[in-house]
Amino acid sequence: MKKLTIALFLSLFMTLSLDALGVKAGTVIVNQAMLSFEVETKKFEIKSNKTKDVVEQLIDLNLHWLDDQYISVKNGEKDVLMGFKLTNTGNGKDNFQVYVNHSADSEVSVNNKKIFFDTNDNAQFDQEDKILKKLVLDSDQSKIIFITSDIPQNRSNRQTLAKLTCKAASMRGGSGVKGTVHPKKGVKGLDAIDGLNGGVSATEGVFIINNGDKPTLTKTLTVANKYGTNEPVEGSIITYKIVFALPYGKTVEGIKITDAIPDHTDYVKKSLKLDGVMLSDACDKDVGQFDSHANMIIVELDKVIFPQTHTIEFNVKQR
Amino acid sequence: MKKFNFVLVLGIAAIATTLYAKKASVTLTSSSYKEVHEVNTAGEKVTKYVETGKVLPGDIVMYKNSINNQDSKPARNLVLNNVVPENTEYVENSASCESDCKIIYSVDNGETFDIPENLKVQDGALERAAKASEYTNIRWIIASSLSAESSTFVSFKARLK
Repeated sequence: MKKLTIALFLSLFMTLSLDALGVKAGTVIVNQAMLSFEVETKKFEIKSNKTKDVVEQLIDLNLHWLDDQYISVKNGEKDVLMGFKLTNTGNGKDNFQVYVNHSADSEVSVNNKKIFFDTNDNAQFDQEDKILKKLVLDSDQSKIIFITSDIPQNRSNRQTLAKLTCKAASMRGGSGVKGTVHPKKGVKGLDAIDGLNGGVSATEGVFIINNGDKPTLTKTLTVANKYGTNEPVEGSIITYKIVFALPYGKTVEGIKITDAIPDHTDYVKKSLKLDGVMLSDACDKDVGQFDSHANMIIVELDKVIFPQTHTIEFNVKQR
Repeated sequence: MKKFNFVLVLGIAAIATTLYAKKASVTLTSSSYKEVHEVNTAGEKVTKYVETGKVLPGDIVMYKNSINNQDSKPARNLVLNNVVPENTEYVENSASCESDCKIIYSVDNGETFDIPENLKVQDGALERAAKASEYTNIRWIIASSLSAESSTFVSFKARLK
């Protein structure tokens, strides 16, 4: 539960200061002019009336993810931590509701999501931090939000991404539409107006779930037969796809990937591809070959840097 | 002694009445208008100035000072001073006047005034040209007299910080 990534600490210091949007709500802007003049030989000096314009409440907020890189976690890890920072960039005190949900393209769903606020403002997740229903911030004030969750057991042997979208919305407005007026919802009964982002801010944080520190090879197959079904029968063409991926942040050199042609099948000539580009079957200039003596395909890669992945494809025909 | 006091009181009252009458003969009225951008029925972008009494950070407000001479005699040597309102900054080239006038500005809270080209501010060890947003005061020196029973106006714009 007390895990806090180094990246989170670093980013706290690197966080840019976001100034509130100007004059505080409720301020009265006063103007008065003075005129001097002469009538005949007499000099006069007069003042104008005072104009008074009241500054209304502009609702604005900024939410950003504190880690600038994927947070590396392990399969089945409990109470992993993700941090966000919410700043009230409007010009008055505001109440914010905070939500967290999986992003639409998240590959994996995490479990047991909880939202904590950094109640004691020490930028560390600790026992004093509480789950609150809303967050009250003065203009220019910030608060760190901690999301804790459990990573599920990942059945595949490749890396997967768990993407969480954190969203904060002003409770005075937060329509999502710039310029929407909320009569008397501002401080001191003033009107509140949704600013640039409509009083709502959302951002995404990403966990990368690793199975270990070693590169992964993920092999899948598809079958096509003359009947148009997926049944492996005599004459079926089986397409194998092998995805090579690295653990987060790793670089690997001098990679050799081999795959034996399965029993009762024959390699389909000129079917070997790397990342969709055809490779010759011969041992020549390109990085792949079909070794007919060993009855296997071989692909050699010089250097792979995360997050690069490579996909090898080849076909076999069932006897 | 009592008679003297009575005469003195009458005298003061007469002077006050005269001054009041004189002051009342020329009036200065200030108004504020928020700049609003709209699209009209023809689909064209138009700028309007509306008297709302409500503003937001970043809004531009136009201030209009109207001088009305209700006297039977012309008013001469009219000089109008306006402090740039607190929490706003002057919008460059926005000061204007209806009649001929000279407009000068201050960057030292009205101690000195000059035309924009001559205004300097201290920026650390260096002196540089002042930005319009650094003007603190505006002064309109109206060239001609304001005829009896006539009016004129000056205006400027300020952006809310």
